[in-house]
Amino acid sequence: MNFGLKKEKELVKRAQKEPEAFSELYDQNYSKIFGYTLKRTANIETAQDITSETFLKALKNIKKFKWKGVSFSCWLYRIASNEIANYFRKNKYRAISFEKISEPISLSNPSQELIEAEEQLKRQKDFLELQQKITKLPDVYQEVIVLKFFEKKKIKEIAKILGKKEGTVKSLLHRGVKKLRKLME
Amino acid sequence: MKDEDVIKKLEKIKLPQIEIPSHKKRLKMALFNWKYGKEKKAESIFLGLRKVLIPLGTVAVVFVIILIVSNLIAPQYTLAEVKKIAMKDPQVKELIEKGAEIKDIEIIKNKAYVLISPKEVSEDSPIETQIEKRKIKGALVEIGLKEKEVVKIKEITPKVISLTQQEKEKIKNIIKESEFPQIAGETLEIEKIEPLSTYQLDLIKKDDTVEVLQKEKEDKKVIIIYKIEDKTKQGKIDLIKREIEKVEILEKSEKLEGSSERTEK
Repeated sequence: MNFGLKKEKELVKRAQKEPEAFSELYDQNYSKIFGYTLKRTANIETAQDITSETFLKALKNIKKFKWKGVSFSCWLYRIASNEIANYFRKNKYRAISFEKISEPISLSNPSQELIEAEEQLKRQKDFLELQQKITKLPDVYQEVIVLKFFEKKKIKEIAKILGKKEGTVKSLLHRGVKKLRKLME
Repeated sequence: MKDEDVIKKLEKIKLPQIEIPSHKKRLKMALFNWKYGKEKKAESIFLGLRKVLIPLGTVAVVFVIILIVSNLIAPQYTLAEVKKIAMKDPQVKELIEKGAEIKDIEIIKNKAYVLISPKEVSEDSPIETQIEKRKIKGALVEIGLKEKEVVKIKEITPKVISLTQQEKEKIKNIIKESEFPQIAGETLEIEKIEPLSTYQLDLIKKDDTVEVLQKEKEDKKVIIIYKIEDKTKQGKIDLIKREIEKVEILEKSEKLEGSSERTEK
């Protein structure tokens, strides 16, 4: 086990007892999960909602988390993937709001940040165009394509995140790329 | 198009690198509040059950244990409770009344740290308000969770940018450019340059303690009072964009006497 994983394992053990350690895990993984949900949904607010729901579910279930060859960050990706699948299935997503889990404390200009982020996203036309095509694929292909090409995950990691065999991931990727090509032609 | 072309496109596409720090921070606080809130609720349910089911002697033992635990080990607090304790302190209250706000809270073991920071002032607010904002102080408030009170307050004066001689020259040139052609043959006299605060306070957790960072913002703005022709003007200059954002005439010449209202450019 490499040093990073060993440290993560220790942190998870601590987080199962004390919430301060969870905040460290949160700091390490927030950007990855937000980035992944954003690349899957291409919508800032939806990505924020799914990220919130992912971490809330992780916090609720951290005591059940056991190291069975799946790292904590892979586990978070798995939760996020399930949440995204829910989002696409229902076509409308009702994530838990901040107000339901906390008393809001004023922070500097969040709406301004949101506007700027949306403008920044709008400027990435090539990405948006390609992402739109990817979302036309069945969910199972979207997952592997985004994890492989946008999140730069190895086949082994994707298999762990999705709880599938490496061979299955490879064939899903192969078929997914073919289907995407047809959509792009 | 071949499959390889699709793969190449997927590999080379420029991906969005978007961060929303305020969401990250709000979610962290919300999760923390949720966790502590749940634990407290569970604790009270546990207490209630014990009161009903266990004989009085056992209740007394449990009560003593809980008393010891809650006083000697860290009591469970929500951010809202920490905020309430902070707000009871007169010095904190005064800072908030003057225009500061609670920006962040960190709970570490038996202590809570509250960062009070001057409120952001809207760019559209009057120049006077923006200058006034510079005088508002921030603070790092340490709360003893066992004592349930503020144990230490360290006031923080937000840094203000200092201008180099080159920048002062740059300011003169920006005014000259904006006043052209009226400037021809006239003297420009700069009365006052007031840099605006370009720093923001951030609370950083470091092991078992916290640190306040004064992070420099990307913009660099100054308020300037200058005399040109027979008018005294007050303006706001963006040194990065090299432009005057707002100009007000403070005093009018005798030629313009009779009209006392301020003019905006």
